[in-house]
Amino acid sequence: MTDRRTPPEGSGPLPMTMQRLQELFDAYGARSDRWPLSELAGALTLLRDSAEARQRRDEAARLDAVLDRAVTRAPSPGLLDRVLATASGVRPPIARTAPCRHPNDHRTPSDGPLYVHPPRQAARRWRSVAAAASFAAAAAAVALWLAGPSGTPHDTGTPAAVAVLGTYSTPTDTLLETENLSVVDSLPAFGCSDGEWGCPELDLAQEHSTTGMRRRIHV
Amino acid sequence: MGAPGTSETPVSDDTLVARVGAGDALACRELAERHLGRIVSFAYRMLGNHADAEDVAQEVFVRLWTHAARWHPGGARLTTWLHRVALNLCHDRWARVRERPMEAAANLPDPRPSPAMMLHERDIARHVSAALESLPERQRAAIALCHYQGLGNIEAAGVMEISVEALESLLARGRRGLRARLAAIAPHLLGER
Repeated sequence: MTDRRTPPEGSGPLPMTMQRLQELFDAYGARSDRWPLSELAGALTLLRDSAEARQRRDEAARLDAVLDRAVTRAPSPGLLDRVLATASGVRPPIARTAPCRHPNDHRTPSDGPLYVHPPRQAARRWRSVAAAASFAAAAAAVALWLAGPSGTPHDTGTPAAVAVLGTYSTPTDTLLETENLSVVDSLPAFGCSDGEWGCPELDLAQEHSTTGMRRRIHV
Repeated sequence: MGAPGTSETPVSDDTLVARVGAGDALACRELAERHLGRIVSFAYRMLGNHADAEDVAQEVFVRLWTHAARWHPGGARLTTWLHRVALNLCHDRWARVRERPMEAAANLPDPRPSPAMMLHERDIARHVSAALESLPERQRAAIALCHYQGLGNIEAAGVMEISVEALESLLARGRRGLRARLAAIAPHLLGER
């Protein structure tokens, strides 16, 4: 094994004591290829120099030998084919269904399920399509506006008609006054007239201006 | 023997996973042939049941096929990832067993040795397996990863998402428990009277 515990950077081999050697036997057993690399040299030196260390190693080796006699099971003959059959039915997930990760999330596969890249390329592609579609729609709207009937929506007729009919510029009450008619008397009688039910009690006699009346009614 | 410079270097796991992500069926086969046996063995150590172990192993590879396109080369080793997924699936199965206490009690081996067990040395292998199954889950996982799967302490600690010191503690307690159980069954094998 190559990935045993390594000593801190800049430090030398860790000192080996009988107690620590026993801890190695207790945890990893008697085989030196299972011990942390950083402690291997010290452990081997102690083993060479100490009969007690060798005796303890032999005790650990006996347990190793018994553990090695545990039942082992090889895969069934058909398992490989079943596993490969699952490969044919599995498709990689669609990129946009993959979970996005926070930009500061730097977990690696060793921290859990495989690293999942956010679908950045797909998002960029969709943003480009959306921008192009927006531009095309705006251009079409301008073209329709330019190709439509000339003139503004406020035009009420041709110049000839305006010359005949004239342009309205005098308030209605002023026009009525020239015929001795009151604008109040000409109001239609509709809606609520009972103040008890919350209808506004309008003193329309006091109001003669069109704009003023409109203001009161809308209060 | 081939000519110098023509010997083929085994394709790395990372390369094979990338090819699986691209839909290469041959890469699927090569990865399965390379790792399936180890994963079955590990799941069997954890669950003590061959059929369950093969179900777990199959699910591990289904997940590998599914995630292969998103594999991040240069990150964790594939063996680490496979063992971690297998261990998580074993945890799921233990959790389901715990929800059925009566059934679980019926399936768990009796750690107490019977006189017959002490007499028949030919059953040592079965007794060792039973002793392993009687260990607490985390101790069993630590011993399975380090002793049987041959993972280094750093990789095994990574699979279990614990520190190396915590792994050593689990290993030591696990081996101590195994020694006690096996000493009651076959003391002569351990040099005890």
